[in-house]
Amino acid sequence: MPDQQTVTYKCPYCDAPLRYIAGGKQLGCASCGNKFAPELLEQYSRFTKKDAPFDWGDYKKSFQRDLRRSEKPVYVCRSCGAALETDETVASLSCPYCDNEIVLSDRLSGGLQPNGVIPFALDQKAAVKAVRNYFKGKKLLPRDFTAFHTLSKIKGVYVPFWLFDAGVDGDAAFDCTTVRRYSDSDYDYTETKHYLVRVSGSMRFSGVPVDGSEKADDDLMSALEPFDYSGVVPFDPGYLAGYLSDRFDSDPDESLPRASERMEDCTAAHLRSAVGDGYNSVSFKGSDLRLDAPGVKYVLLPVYLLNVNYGGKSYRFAVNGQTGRIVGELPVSRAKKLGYYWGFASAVAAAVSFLLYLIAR
Amino acid sequence: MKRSTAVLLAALLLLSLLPGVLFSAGALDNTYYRYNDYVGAVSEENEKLLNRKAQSRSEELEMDFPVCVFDTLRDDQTRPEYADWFYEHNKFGYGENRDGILLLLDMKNYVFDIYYYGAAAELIDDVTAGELVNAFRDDCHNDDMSFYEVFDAYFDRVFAAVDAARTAEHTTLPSKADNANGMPYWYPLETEGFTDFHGTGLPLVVDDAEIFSVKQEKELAEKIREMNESLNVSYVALTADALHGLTPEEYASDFLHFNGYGVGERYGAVVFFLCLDMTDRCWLTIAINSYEDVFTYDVTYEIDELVDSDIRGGNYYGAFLKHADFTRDLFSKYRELPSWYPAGTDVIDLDREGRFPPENTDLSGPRVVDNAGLYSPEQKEEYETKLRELSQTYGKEFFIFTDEDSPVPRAYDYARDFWYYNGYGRDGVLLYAIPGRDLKPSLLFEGSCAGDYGELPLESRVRNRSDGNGLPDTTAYYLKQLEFLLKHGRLPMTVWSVGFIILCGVCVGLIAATWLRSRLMRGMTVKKASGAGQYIVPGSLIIRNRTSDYLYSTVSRTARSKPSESSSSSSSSSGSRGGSSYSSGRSAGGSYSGGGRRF
Repeated sequence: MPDQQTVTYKCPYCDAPLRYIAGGKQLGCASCGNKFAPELLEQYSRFTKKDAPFDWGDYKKSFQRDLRRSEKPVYVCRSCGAALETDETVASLSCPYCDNEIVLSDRLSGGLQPNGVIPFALDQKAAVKAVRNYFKGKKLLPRDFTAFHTLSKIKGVYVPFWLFDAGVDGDAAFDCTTVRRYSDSDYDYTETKHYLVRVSGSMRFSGVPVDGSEKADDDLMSALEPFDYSGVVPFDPGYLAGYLSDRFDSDPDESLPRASERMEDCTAAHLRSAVGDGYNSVSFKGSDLRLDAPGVKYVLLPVYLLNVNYGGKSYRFAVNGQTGRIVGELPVSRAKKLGYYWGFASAVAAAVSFLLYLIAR
Repeated sequence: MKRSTAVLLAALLLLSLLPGVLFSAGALDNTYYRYNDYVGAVSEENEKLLNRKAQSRSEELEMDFPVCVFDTLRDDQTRPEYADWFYEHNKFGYGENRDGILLLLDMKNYVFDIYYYGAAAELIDDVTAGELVNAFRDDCHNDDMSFYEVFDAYFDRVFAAVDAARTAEHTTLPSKADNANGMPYWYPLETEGFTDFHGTGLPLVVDDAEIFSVKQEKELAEKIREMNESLNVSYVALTADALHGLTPEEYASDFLHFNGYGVGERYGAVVFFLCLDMTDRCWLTIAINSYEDVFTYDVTYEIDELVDSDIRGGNYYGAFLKHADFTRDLFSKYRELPSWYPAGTDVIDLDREGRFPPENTDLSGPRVVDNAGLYSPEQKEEYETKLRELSQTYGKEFFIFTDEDSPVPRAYDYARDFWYYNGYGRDGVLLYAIPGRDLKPSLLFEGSCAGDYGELPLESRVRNRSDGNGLPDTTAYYLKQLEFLLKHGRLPMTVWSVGFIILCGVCVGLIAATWLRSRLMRGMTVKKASGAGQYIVPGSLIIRNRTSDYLYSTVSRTARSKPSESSSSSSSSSGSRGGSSYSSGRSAGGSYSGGGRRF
């Protein structure tokens, strides 16, 4: 069974481990420089006579049975034979002994197989460059912050996302007012009329993303949007080689409320625009909106992650592996912040005062 | 032949210049011209008719009724002087007292006067004289009447008045019925475009409320006449028991305007009005034209205090006498002028606008004229030196003037007169202090100084400085400010203004720094996506229904600001009337000032 649980891509020429080349839809060999399409390698491996595997005998079978029973699976590296114990949501990893790239195919097969994947369009160098550019021009960034982080630690991760398709149907109510002013010889009058305006309607959404990993920071993941869904390709384990990847641990039912909230808010805003221009004020009162025929797709989206510990606090950054968009919270130098604030305030105050003096004198 | 023609032309010229001489009383018979028309107001034929009518009745009544219609005064004569000259030169009048009534009509300025000579002055009382004036004025405004008809009617009325006066002593009261519009009998039928006529001989006591006895009315009229003539003022006493829809202020001011009261070039007039209307019992002192400056709030308040007890106690006559005495004293004060005023100057009627200061005449005199004695000799010497130094350096004149009180209604006008009549030049600044009017000193800017420095807050600084400081300290401060102003063309900045500028700069700086901080903080934090606008399926929005249900309405109101009415309403509730200036808002009535109280 371990044979069916792990997939290793080796160079047909030099047998070195292959990595997925970002943006190329191919796997490349770092040793000889050859590149291969995943489908070709699949066909190649099917017809290649493998070396006789190490015979684990009954122990191995019972071991694996136990692992299954205890739900703490142990995977065997096909390159060096090392036994690897991983988190149950990990779907691909590098062997710590031989650096072989391993895809845990059983975690992405059958009912767990994603509908699609957006392959990395940026390689690690580009991601590092994007992070460096992101730090540039940030005047409030502590001077020594860049010395603390190690950009080489940036990791490419396929993050599991649920893409929800749904219609939203229902109505929304708004408090609206009209104001009329008139006067007589003694008083000025202001008459305010209040109306309850209800608007019924529906609209459809497609591909509202919600990350399905509890380990991923929800705010960070949502800030990475948008992904270009035209880049989605059918899932192939080959795309995961060389990157970390996770299987979802938050199912669609658990993720749906976040998508639903976004869709309903958006629908209410559009229904508000249908209220009309005949009112002086329009304020949202409430809504009765329902999701209609929701559907979901499971995709893996490319993200580079970087954690930097600085000043006793961990700062997390994420780079959209497709578009290069980078998000993350940066530390703020208190001294710089005060310096800029009071320095600029003093300069402007002096300039304005001098100008006013010239005018007034 | 030529010589005889020249003689004839000279004779015609003489004839045209002195028509009355040739046809004077000495030359009587059928060519005695009492109607003298130099502007051709009526045709020659009608002129003859008028002369014939005047002659027949004059002989019958033994009183002359000449009329002079002209458009140019002779030399620099005033109308009264011209009237006297005309009457005398043409030897009009009957008997040793030269009895007669002269109607003088200035067609250029639309002003007419009726003058009474000899026995006519005693024979025609004020009421009748007023009626004659009103009737003639109304006829002049009547577009349906030709000038011939106007003069014909005048002759009828003046003959009838003399006849009635001779035959009986006021057997009936004059008619005081409302006019056709339901307004007072003296009110013109058409107020739109009304042109004031200013006549003489107007009644001085108009007792429409009939609160005075005949004796009281005569005594009061005599008192007023003596005041008006001796001080050359226009004062009238008025009572009424119905306002005809007007406010008391409008009633009194209209009475002055529409009846032609007023003296001098600016036609100042004042009326003490007692209103006994059932809905509005009050008394008012209302002044128009040049007298508006005289009857200020303080003056009318003083008057109100003076007559309050009498009027509330029903002693109306006593109140009128007190009012007349007070007014006499008030006007008398304005007739006692410093020696530098030209003799005969009427400081109330004086038109100061457009008066151009003369060139420097004599600047060798003192520049600190301290009539009020507010400076010590050392201070005066110090200021004198400084003012001369500034004048020599900057080519402008600077003076300081103090006096205990002002013989001019407005202290500012007194300061202007001081500068003007002393010939202090065309450009300069005068600091003047008149404690009897204002405890704080003020500034007068003349000539180019008015344009260069008049808008600057020098005066307000000087006045603010005088709070809690004596005049010498304020003067020293003024001189420093003035010197800085002359040197730099601007006033020195005050501590407050510097502080204000710094405060403004700090505020702007903080706002700018806050904006900068927000800019710098942008991108330092994670902003999660909200909404799902980018995931909407294009064209999927369907609006099925939209309903709008009315719930309720609220109405709030705020009182409108009405500055003029606010003082009125407050005075109404307290039972007194404010003394500030009013404006009638009607073109015919014009403006007025004054005040009074309800009772």
